[in-house]
Amino acid sequence: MQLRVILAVLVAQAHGAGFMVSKIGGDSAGPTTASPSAIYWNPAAIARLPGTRIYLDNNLLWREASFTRDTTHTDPDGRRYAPVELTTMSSQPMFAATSDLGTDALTVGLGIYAPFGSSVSWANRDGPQRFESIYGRLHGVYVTPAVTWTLVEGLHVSVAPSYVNLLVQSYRARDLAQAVEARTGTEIASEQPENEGRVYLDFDGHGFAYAVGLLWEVGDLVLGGAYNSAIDVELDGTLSVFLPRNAFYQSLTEGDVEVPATLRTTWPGAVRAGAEWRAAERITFTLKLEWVRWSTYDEVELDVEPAHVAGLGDLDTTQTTGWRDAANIRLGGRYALSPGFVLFGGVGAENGAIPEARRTPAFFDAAKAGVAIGAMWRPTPAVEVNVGYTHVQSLDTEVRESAGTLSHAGTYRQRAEILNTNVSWRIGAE
Amino acid sequence: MRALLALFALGCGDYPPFEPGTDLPEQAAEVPEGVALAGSDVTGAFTMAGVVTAAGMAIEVGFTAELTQRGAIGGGEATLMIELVDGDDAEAQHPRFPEPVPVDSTGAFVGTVVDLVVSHETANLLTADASADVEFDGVVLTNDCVHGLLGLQLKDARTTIAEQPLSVRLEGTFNAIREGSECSFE
Repeated sequence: MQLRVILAVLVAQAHGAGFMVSKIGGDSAGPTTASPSAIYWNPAAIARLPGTRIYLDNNLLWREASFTRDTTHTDPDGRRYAPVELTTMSSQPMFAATSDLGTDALTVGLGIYAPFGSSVSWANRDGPQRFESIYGRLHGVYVTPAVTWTLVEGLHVSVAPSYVNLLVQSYRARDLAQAVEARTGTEIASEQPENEGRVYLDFDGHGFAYAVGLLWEVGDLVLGGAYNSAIDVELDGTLSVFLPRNAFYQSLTEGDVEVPATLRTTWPGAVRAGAEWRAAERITFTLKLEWVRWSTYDEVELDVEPAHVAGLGDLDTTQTTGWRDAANIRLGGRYALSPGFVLFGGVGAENGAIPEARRTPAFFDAAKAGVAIGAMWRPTPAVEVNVGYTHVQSLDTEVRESAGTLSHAGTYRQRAEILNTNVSWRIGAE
Repeated sequence: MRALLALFALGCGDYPPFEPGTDLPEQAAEVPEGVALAGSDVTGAFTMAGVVTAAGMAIEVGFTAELTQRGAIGGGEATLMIELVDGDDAEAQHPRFPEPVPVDSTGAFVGTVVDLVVSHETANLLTADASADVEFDGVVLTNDCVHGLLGLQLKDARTTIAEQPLSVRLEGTFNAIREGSECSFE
């Protein structure tokens, strides 16, 4: 029996354009912003931060999604094909510190942050999404030191290596009908409860990345950009196969299977660029662009040891994602009511990283738009507090073709609400 | 490593929120349609009908077979013997597996009946009796039904289509049905 384990590596929710949750520092942050969050966006921009600063940031992300599957299957218990909904709450924090070390030519920084951290747990585990997602979790923590040099006045370059710590968990249903068909030559109807098992992946590990950045301040204009490298990911963990609880399947392997496995893939690199124009004393306009090379996330390889499990066959598999590059654009502005109180806002849009035929309940991503508002308050000259709110709405909801073994065409709806809060504290006199 | 993740990822150490596998319902009496129960026993007389292909032409072959199963499928030690009992003399030594072959937990087995005599009177293209090895790559589907791939290795056969003795391998499928029963191999 060949049991092909379709990977449910939940890259979803974050990692920049393609999922529109690049919200480190809130919507006011970007590749040109004078904020320690620049360690993520463009490390060269920390050159705009004189003195020494401590920075705490958090994004509280609330996500609501629903899936109505187009299907001709009859529903034996009213749960398997009824529309399902999902509500999740996740947190993406950042701690950072920067210092110019008392010099004019050098700024250093250290950031520890979770640019993507999400989980999904569908309340109806028997729902129409079950073959793609019952539960999933992805967390990544970056530890990034950054060094920025001022080459000439207004021109800064930076390099920032990152140690990346990752956790991936995925749990989904698996229809074994086709596997039994292949083994016995007998046609068996798909998606029958007696042929339904579960597959659970649990991996963690680490990887390394780097970023190089450039910032140019010229008059009322600030231009900046950074290249963030891809990450070759190799995670160790386990693959568990839970067979249907009936006599036939339980006889296949004398029970469930848990085997060590290695997960390999390439996480995409990104280019982030921005411009900031101080149009008037109180008014500043911003432009942010982000291009994430999701097309390099083209293969996900699962290497199981041993590859062959008696009764289940070869468990090694390589899945092609078929994803494409994603681009994001955001336009924003800031208006200073006073030197210590600034309002900001912006709008953004992006294409989705996942073509229609590749969208599943595990990977919802589609074209979307967002709007953000917020305020910065400086209660003392040394302390700056930002609070921002962003609404993201998925635009393309209908999926009429599906490339999966089991079709997941249907209607996908999704929105996210993000509350960002951060505080920056400058140590010592300005 | 996960401590770092847990520090920066809310509630990371507490997931998944349920024990994987525990949401699968027990299905004691349910099995996939057309698939063998672990307790299937195919011991008895079967009618075996096969179709093999030679030069694009389908050739039907048939046997009467006596199957003998020892042990329980799924128990780890099941074996199967197939003996082809065509012929007038029921007491004679019939072509059979040299020894019982193992049946795995899915009901699958592989075995070869050696030196089956193919009478020229029953095969239009033969001018003299021939010898063949018959390979079965099958699976026990139910107590009454066995299905699988059939390989027919004809050895040094004298035929009407070639002057020299011909050795050829023919491949196809077979269905074996307990005599008096019905099976659906759709």
